[in-house]
Amino acid sequence: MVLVSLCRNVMSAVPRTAIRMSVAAQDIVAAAAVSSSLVAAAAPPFDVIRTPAQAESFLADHDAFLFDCDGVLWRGEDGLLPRTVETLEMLERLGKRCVFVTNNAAKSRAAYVKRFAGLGLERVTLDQVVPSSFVAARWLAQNRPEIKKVFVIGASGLVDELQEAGIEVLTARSSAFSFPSSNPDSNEASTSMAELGKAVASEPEVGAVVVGHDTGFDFKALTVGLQPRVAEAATLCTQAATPCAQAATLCTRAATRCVQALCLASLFLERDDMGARRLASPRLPLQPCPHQPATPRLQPATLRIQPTSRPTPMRTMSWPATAAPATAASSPPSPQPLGAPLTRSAASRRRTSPPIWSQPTGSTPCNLRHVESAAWGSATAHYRGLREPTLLAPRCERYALGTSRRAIQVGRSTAGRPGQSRPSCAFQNQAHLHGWRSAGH
Amino acid sequence: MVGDRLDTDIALAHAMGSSSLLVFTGVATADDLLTELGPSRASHDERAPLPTHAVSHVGHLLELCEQN
Repeated sequence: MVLVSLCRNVMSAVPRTAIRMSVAAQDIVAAAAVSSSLVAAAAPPFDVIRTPAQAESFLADHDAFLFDCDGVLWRGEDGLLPRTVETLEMLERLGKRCVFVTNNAAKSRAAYVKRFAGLGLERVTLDQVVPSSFVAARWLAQNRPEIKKVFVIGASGLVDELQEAGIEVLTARSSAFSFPSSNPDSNEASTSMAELGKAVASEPEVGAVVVGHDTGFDFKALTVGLQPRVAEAATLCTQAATPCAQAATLCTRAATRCVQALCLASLFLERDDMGARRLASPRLPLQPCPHQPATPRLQPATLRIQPTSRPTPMRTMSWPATAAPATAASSPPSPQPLGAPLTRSAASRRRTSPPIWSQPTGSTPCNLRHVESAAWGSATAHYRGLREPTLLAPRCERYALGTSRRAIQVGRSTAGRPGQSRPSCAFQNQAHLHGWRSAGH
Repeated sequence: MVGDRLDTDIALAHAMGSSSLLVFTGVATADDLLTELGPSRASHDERAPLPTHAVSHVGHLLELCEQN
C-alpha cells in the first residue's frame, strides 16, 4: 500500500542520530583564528573550558547537572565515553545533583536504570532518570485521570510506563486488532480497514493516542490511530492540555515522524482525489517505493470525510504557533458513531478545533527538529516544573508552544544572551535553586 | 544542562534560563558552532541558541581537575 510505503520511508529517512567523531573543544578557537571570515568566532560568546582553573570554576558555580544521555555519556551502542564513570563519581563526591534526561520514549525508567548499571553506573536510581516515556505517562495520569485506556504507537518502554501509571494500553499488536487474513495473497491493509474500524468501535473507552518512537510502526497502527473517534479523543486530550504536556504526550522523540505520517495520511483521507497530490508535501523526504504500485489502491470507506467547500490545504504541515483555541475546552466535539463516516457537520466541527495534523497553512511550518525539541524541553522542564510550577511553567509553555525556534527567542529574551551579564550559576535565579534544594534535593 | 545538540539540549537550557555545557561527542560539531557564530547565518529567527560553556567531552572536566 502506498500509505505503508510512505510511512516506512518516513521512518527510515531519518537515520539514527548521526554520530560523528569527537572534536576537541580547543579546535573551535583554533579553527576560528584560521578562518578570518568568522571573526565573531574568534571570541566565542561562551566559555570554552580548557584549563584546570576554568573547570574548577565551572564546577564550583553549578550545583545540579542535567545530562542528556546519547552523545554525552555514551554514543549509540558503543558504550560509555572515556572517563564518564569517574566524572560522575567526582560530581557525586562534590555533592552535585545529577539527573539524566532523555527524549527517548522507547525505554522506561527501569530500562534506563538497567542500562546505566550495565554500563558501570550502578548507583543511578529510578528518580534520577527522566525519559519522555515517563513524562507522557505521568502527565496523562495527573492531568487526565479520566483516561483509563490509550492507544499507543510506540515501543515497549512507553507501554511499560503507561501501565505503571495505571493506564490500560492498546497497541496495533494487541489481540483486539489481530484478524486472520481471509486471503493471504490480498492486500492486507485494504482488506482489514473495515475490520480495524469495527475493532476501534468496540473500544470506546480509548481516550487518547500516545505516540512514541516505534520501529514497528505500520499501516495498522496508522489506521487505528486515524479512526475518527480515536483521533478526536487525541485532539481533546492535547488541546485541553498545556502545550508542554501536549508535546510530551504526542510528540515524544521520533514520534514526530509518526505524527508527520499521520498528518499526511489524514490529509489523504480527507481528499476525494486521493493520490493526485499525494506527494505534494515538500517537507517530507519521501522516496517512491519501488515495490509498490504507482497508484494508491487504498479505499478508505470507513474513514472518508465528506468534502467541505474549503479544500484541505496541502502545502506543508504546520505546527500551531499559538495556543489551542479556547473553543476546544468549552465545546468538546460530541461523540460520533464509531467507525462511521464523518458527516459534513462533523467535518466542520473538526475544523473549529482542528487536530494538530490539519492546522491551516500560514502558521509556522512544522519541522521535525522543532517538535522534537519541544518534546525534549517538556521532558526536562516538566521534571523541574514539578518542583517549581509557578516559576517555570510560563517559560516552558512558551518554549513548547510555538515551533521551538520562535520560543527560543522568548527564552533568550527572558534569560539573556550568553556572555552578557548573567549570573554564573546553574539556574539563573538563586532563589529557584534554593527552592529546589529545600524541596528535598 | 549538559548536552550535545544546539537545537534541543542547549535550546532547553535557554528556555529554562539555566546555563548549558555543550560537548562534542554527539551531534554538534565545531563546524556547526562556527556556522552559528559566523556572519553567514540565516535570519535571526533561524539561529540556534549558543551554549554558555563548551568542553570537548564530559570526561575532560575530570582530566582538567586532575591536573591541579
